Amino acid sequence: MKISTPNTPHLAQPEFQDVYEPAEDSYLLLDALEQDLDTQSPLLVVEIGSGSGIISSALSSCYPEAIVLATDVNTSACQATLNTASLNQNKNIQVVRTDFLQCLWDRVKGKVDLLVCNPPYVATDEVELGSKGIEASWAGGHLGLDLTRRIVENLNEILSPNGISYLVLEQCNKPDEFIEEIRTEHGLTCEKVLSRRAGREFLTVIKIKR
Amino acid sequence: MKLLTHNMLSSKAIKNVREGFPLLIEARDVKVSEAEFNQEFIAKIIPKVDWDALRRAAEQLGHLESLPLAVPQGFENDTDFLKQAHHALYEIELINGNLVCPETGRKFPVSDGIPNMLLNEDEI
Repeated sequence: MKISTPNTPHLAQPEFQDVYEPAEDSYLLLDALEQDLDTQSPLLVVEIGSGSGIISSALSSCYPEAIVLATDVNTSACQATLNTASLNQNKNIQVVRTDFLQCLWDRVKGKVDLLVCNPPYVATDEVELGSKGIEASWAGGHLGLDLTRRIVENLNEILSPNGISYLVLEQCNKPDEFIEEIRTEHGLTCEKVLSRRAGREFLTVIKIKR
Repeated sequence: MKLLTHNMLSSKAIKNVREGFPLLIEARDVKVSEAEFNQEFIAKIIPKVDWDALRRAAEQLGHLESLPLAVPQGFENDTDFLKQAHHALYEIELINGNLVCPETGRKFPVSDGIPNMLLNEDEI
């Protein structure tokens, strides 16, 4: 499924200095989606932590007939996502400022066909969590798995029967052990889709489904 | 914020809230625009929409027009109905205002079309 990289020139503006600018992890996720997604359109696509909106925008272009819900805790990120959508003619993106689907939960649980997240995957102290600014884009708590683990723990409830999730992991997350945890503790299917070295980081995109 | 999005938002995460749906709307700035109509797509969405909540929301935005009381039988092929549904779901946007929890009165601001649903630690 061909995915064009959305344009994001507005991110250079000062009002978006607190927004995570697309980097190797973002592009790896785009490449993984391009490689792995099929042409059949999901109905409901959700992104947790949309940041610049680059992923939601790409998915929106891929699947113009889907409802794409982009969420972020950071208000500048929400605005940036809206701008990215507008610039790239994405008519089907909705942006909501929220923490992990809070306030969307009751209405979307069991209905999400595609859930994507490029999470804050850097291992940090617990005290660095809870920010609504740029730190929220990288501070991942113990093993950098705070948000990632929260997503996995709730996937059985969030996803529709044939729903799929794509997440980005870094080597500090101990991917092999985490994938094993996903399989054994949550009874989900999980496989690596694409991996790449990016500077000091080694990134992997995983795909999870029932 | 389109009414399609409003249809997915609830305040149930707040302590002691039983349903928290649908959220009431206090509108300050509303925009009506045109969005491309895709019959098949709207037909697929209708089963996921809480129709009553959509009607109430449209009414609160002053755009109830002739939206029917209920989804008709055989709606998949009812182009007129689907066009009305499309208009309500996609073409009416709340740009600035508040969404209000129907049980606690807690206000969630909507600015530049983006609803802020962040709750404080002591609310959940």
